[in-house]
Amino acid sequence: MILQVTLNGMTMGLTYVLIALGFCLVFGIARIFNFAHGEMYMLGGWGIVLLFGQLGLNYGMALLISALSIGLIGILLDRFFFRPFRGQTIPPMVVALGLQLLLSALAMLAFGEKPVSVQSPFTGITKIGDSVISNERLAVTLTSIAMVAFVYIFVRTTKLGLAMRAIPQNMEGAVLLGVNINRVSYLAFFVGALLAGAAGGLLGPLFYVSSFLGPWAVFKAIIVVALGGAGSIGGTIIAGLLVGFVEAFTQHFFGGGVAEIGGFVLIIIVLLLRPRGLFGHEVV
Amino acid sequence: MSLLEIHKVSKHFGGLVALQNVELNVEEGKIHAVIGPNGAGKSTLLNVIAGSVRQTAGKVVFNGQDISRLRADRRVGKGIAKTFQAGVLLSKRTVLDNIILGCHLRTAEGYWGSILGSTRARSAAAATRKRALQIAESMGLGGWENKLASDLPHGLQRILGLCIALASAPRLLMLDEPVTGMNPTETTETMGLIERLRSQGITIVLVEHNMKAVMGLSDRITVLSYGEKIAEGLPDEIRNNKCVIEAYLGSST
Amino acid sequence: MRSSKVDWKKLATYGVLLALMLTIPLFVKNLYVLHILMVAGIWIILTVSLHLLFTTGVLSLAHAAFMGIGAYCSAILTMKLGWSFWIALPMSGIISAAIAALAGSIFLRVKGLLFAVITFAFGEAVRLVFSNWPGLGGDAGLTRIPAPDPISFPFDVTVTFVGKMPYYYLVLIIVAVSVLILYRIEKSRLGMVFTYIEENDALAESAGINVQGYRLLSFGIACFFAGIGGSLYGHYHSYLAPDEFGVWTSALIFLLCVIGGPSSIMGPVVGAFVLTIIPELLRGAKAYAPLFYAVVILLIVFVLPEGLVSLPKRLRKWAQKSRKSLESR
Repeated sequence: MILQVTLNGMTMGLTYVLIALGFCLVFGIARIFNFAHGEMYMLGGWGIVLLFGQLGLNYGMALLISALSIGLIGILLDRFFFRPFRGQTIPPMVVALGLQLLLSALAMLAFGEKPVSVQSPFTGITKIGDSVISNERLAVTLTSIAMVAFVYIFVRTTKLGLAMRAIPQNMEGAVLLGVNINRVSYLAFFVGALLAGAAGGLLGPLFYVSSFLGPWAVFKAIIVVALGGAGSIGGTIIAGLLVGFVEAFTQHFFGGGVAEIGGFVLIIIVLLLRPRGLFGHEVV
Repeated sequence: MSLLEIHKVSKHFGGLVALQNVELNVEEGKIHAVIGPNGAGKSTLLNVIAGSVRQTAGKVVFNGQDISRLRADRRVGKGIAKTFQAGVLLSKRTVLDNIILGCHLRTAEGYWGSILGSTRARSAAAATRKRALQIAESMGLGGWENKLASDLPHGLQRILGLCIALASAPRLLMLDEPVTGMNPTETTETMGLIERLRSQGITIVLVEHNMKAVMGLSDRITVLSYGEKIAEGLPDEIRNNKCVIEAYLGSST
Repeated sequence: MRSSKVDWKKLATYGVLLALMLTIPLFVKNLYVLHILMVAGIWIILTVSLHLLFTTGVLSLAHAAFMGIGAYCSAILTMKLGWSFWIALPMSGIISAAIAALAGSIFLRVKGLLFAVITFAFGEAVRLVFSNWPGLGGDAGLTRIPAPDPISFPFDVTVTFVGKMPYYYLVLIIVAVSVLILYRIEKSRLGMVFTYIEENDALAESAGINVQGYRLLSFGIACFFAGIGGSLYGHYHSYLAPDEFGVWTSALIFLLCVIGGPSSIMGPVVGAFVLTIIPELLRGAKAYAPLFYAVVILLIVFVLPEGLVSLPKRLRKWAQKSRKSLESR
């Protein structure tokens, strides 16, 4: 019942947070509307297919290697594709669109157009009170919580983390204080891509892996970031969870088609009342 | 006669009190300075008068009319203009184009005529250009019209900001630190310009840190400290006012 | 700087182009070519109107949604209310503009990239409305949207909208008129005010410009034309589906608008044109087509920072440089 729905909502919500954090960080720090962010999620799925499904590595190992590699890809993308346009608004968006098309095209050629399923390493179920959660989902949930918590703590306690929070609010101020924007940007891309790649690797066994998941993932990320307030990490976390819960609840009580709208009605109402999002700053 | 009256104006930014119950009367045709240590709320006061910041409490009355709820751009139409502290300009455009921006409210070129390309619109645009040129020349920017604003030396950039504000033909001109950052020669020149503006009938509210300029130009001075008015009067009175001296000394410890 | 003189060379070039476009159906018998030109034409209306928004600094990623609003409105007005297409067309533009004004009055309080994020969400919300509002045909959309009513000219000449040719001229005329209007607006004092707002809205406000009001105006005008484009789209293809007006279509319109060149009105026209033709040319490459498309886009951003329009200029400079280096040897 309620607990069951909540658990479902939390799993999806955490996934949304993982994907959205990357978009939020890059948006707030590098001021880039990264259409290509979803491809990191997509690649994460293929990473697991390759490392875990085909090479037979231990799932945790495969996830780690896959996520780290994708994080590295994130840094490379920033260094070679986005840095030349640092400070501009529209060209990075075009680059991002081009990258989205490029990465999905490459994935299509490398991995094919058909979706692939991956056998989850976790079997069985766990009971929590009256509710039941599959061990698959449990693993995804716990891993996600760990990652999100790690990022949150990092951002709150370390100096770099402080820089990551300060730049979205006041870039000139941060620069004056000696913050190296390029370095923080690399970090943002790294963390963002890593988290999205991890999310892709986590959800892959749960659903399926395909070369076409990019647009869906970035789309979810943008919605969450819009709701939570662009540039606000805490806001993204809360918004992601919120979207997950609302989707789960409307799915349960009203069924399929309306579920989509349920989440959206909430978001649009919030945006109409508070265009900058729940925790958004004045202007980006 | 009072051109501008500020009645019990307060401004709170969240928990921060920028202005508290400020009263101000600016007489027409005079130069009225607002001074005070850093953080006194001087710029906030100018922004409240200009309308870019809405006061938390109190009234702003201009020329007998309560403009407290009037939108910022409409206040310019009423005759209030303000310059900016830093170089707020159209940096990628020429000096002349910058001044033409300032002429926005005073140009005769209508939108429909301009879209249709009518002769009337085109001659109105030419007239506006001519007027902008005159303003540039009268303020010492003659010869610079076609230079990019960002290519101007700092002092001339401030003058350009002044030209843009003047282009709207204001009755009340608010200058936010007009000579800060200028060398003594530029300062004297600019002071001369400001005096000339007063003699043309423009009422001026001057926020400045440069005491020589303030004492040399003002007809009346209001002193703010931590958002409150602590003194007001003639330059000589203010110069010797104990509270004022304490406020300035106190703020430097 | 706006020149107050008429540029005769430019006018002549456009005149020749227009004459060319008018006479194409007479010597090109391949109907598919006409179809592609019309598709490109409709995109041109979308990209040129989006360009106006960009000159104002308003980054809308919901342009396809307003196109959809126009398309659905036009379809409903003609199918359910029996209105004539010739009235439904402008009405679609007006309704689209009205909805834009309403949404904009709230969303335009937020600037720049943040506004882009919100329009993205809004665009999807609109698509969901198209999918779920009763009477709009759901996910499958609407079919059998009527052709425009026949027009009667003097001397017993009637134009009925059967076959590609009448549609071609309809689209051509509407595109030409729309581009002309948007061009004149951008070159006028109104367009100038829009650019002031984009460059420095605080300074613009201090000069007496109602920044918010002008942003709304720009948004309304742009979405009016988006609605017109949508109406044309629906009546030409005679069917509509919600997915055609989703966020990725908006992203496509954005791409087409910007890739041509950010600084002139020819940019969006060239962008729409070229990027509609390229996928057609790439059809032969099959599986590699998306890859080539992506590479082309990235190449343009990196090699031609001023967009496709700067290609001739760039080639000339490169040719000059290589000639010089050959001569100096």
